[in-house]
Amino acid sequence: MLAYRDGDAGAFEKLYARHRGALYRFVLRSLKDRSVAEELFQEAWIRVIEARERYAPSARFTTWLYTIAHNLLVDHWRRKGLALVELTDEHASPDNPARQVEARQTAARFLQALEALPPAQREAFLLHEEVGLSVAEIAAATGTNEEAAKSRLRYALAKLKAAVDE
Amino acid sequence: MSDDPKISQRYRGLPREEPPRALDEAILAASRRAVNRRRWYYPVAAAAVIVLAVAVVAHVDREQPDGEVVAPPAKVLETPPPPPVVEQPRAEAPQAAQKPARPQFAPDPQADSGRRSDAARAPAAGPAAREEQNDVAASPAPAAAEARRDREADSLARMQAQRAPASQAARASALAGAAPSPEQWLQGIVDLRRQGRHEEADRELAEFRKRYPDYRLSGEMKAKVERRQ
Repeated sequence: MLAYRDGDAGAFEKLYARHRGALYRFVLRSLKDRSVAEELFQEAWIRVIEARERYAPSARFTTWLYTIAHNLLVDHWRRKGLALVELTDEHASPDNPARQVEARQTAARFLQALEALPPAQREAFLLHEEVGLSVAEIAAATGTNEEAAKSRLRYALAKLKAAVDE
Repeated sequence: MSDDPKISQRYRGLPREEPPRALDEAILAASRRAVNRRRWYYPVAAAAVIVLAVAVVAHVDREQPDGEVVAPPAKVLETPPPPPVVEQPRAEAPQAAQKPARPQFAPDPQADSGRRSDAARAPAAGPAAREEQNDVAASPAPAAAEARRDREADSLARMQAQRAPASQAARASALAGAAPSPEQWLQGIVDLRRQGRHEEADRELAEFRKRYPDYRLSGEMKAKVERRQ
């Protein structure tokens, strides 16, 4: 990021290649709407580009990047109210009798459970599992304290485990 | 935080979605545009700052001389032109002209009090005045006639001082708003002595010593500027 800040366009391409997949999945799985997820994904990177002059390596770039993404998600949730906290019925019935492959059924159940999580818990889980952030980094990225981050993650894991064990 | 490997495994089993190619290209293009914008932005900004600084300096330079040129002439104009022969204004004229610019004591800036002849030392005087003063110096005329001639010479010198090239230094000094140099001032005092205007000369000398307490007068100059008892 420092190299990009200093005018090296190639540095951004490397940075983007390293983080694009995880960020995309993080945003996509935090939301239900793919088009909205893509919009937020792009917006997050645009903010990185625009903020390059002010960038100071006080934290890991990853933490900074996901702080931006978290803020965008929060804005999105605020605009939508609390609708995303509850799952709608269409997402609550993923079981498809036509599916023959057990693995796919399991994956679907897992995805359903993931989507059923409250946004804060899902976010904590995704930051931990998809991005590989520690509890402290999750707290930093989401603007909360470590206790809260740890609690969210623990609840998320417990619910997902219950869904997997069903 | 103890992770359940099964959860992690399940999560890894989910499809690994990637952003669409078009999205990648749009973001990378934006990043390149930002860098290119920066490439021209900083040189242009730096050039603008330099141009602005030069403009400000030029403006200040233009302003300063104006202030110096405009103010002193007003002072010169305020000085009432001395009547030709009347005694009274002679005593007041130096006070009216006072310190800011002492045009009456601003002879040739090259003046060297030690080597110049009396005629050459005539303050701001044209050839006629010099002739008069030469006469004064040369002929032992009676006191009354000498005083009269002295006054006429002084009056003539004053009038010519406003026109003659010899007074350019004085006017330049006045225009510049600068006080005469110590040498010029002393030369003026010498001239006053020569013209018999000793009281004025005393005042000027006292003022000079107040202004330049550390100025050391040569013996020759001292003899010229101090009143002989």
